[in-house]
Amino acid sequence: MDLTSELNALYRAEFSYVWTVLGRLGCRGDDREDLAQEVFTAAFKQWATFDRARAVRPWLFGISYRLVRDYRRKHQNRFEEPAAQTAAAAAGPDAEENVARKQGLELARRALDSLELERRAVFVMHDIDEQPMPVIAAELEIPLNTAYSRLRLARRDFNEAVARLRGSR
Amino acid sequence: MSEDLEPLSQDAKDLLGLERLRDDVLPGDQQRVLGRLVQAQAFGAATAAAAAGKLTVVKVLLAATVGAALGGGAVGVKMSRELDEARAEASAARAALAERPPMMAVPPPAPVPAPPPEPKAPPTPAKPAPKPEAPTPVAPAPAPSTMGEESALIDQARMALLKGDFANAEAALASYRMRFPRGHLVEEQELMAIQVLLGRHQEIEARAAADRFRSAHPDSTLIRALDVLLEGVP
Repeated sequence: MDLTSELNALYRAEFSYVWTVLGRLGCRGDDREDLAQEVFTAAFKQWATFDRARAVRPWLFGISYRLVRDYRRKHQNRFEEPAAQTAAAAAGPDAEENVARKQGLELARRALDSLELERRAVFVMHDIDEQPMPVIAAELEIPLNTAYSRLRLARRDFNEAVARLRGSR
Repeated sequence: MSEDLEPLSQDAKDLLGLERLRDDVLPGDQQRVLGRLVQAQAFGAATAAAAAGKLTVVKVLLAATVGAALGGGAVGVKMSRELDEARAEASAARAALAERPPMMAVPPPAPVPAPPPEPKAPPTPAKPAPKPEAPTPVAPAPAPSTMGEESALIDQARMALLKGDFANAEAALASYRMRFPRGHLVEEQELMAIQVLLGRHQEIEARAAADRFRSAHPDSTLIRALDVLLEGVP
């Protein structure tokens, strides 16, 4: 497979993951599209030297996280829009179940949005993507202890956010 | 260390279970970003990085996708030096392939450094001095070019495509077709029209247009870019 075919395959296989990760990191609308383009541009540039023994998704997550972090530094107060509608929420035969599912997804996104970005990144990688902590620390380029500390704080914040959001309904 | 972690509440766990299954890719998201990557030459940039400056087929093809639109000084897009070079090389390659005038302005060639002075040879027996070279004939002035106008329309379409504004992209392309039916950038125009169809989820029409493109331009350097656009399209 030549390089272009590999990149194309990478894009087809992982677009959905990157898109979802950007949403979990708080990107919406045009920002999300801009950043998805930047993530794949960066990934394509690094692909030739990417160690194929590594898992692709944590690597893409690391790229996404750094780009989102830099983007937020440049554009203060961005990504503050309410959570977008989800494509999945409309699927399924049972309308009532769908409504509950949609509300759950919205609540999850709002609770995630309440977390600080650095904590959120560790939290998403660990508690949603189920990556091991050494991989998370490596991909986010932080010490292992820092990763654990962020995860602990993120879990506390997430629990509190969920309770708060439930209470305010 | 993990035993010190705060446990998640059952409610939080349930929500994370839902979040894990989230699929919020809407129709068109993937194709739209792919179009932007192709237009921004991201595939070409990767190839350039991998090839360490060597011109590759892919780089030529993908540079050519938008290179023509950028030629003639339309909208400035930040491009790396490598890609600028690729664009010029793509232009040269395309011009060589086509039986028509060069399709885009090629940057003037870099001045060729003077060759190092040859070591002085021992005097040789008398040899007739070389005749002074005949003066190079002056090239005739080029015919007035429509390149600037063509590029402006293609660039207008490209910028609209980047924004997902398919109506304006199509309007610019339609204007191009009317004004320049045999223009220098017809292939670029056709490729972008296919992107518009894909953006509008008219996959069947896009595939038909792609087939027509391949028949009409079997040697086009844009066919590879077309393949990239259509891969995975149902």
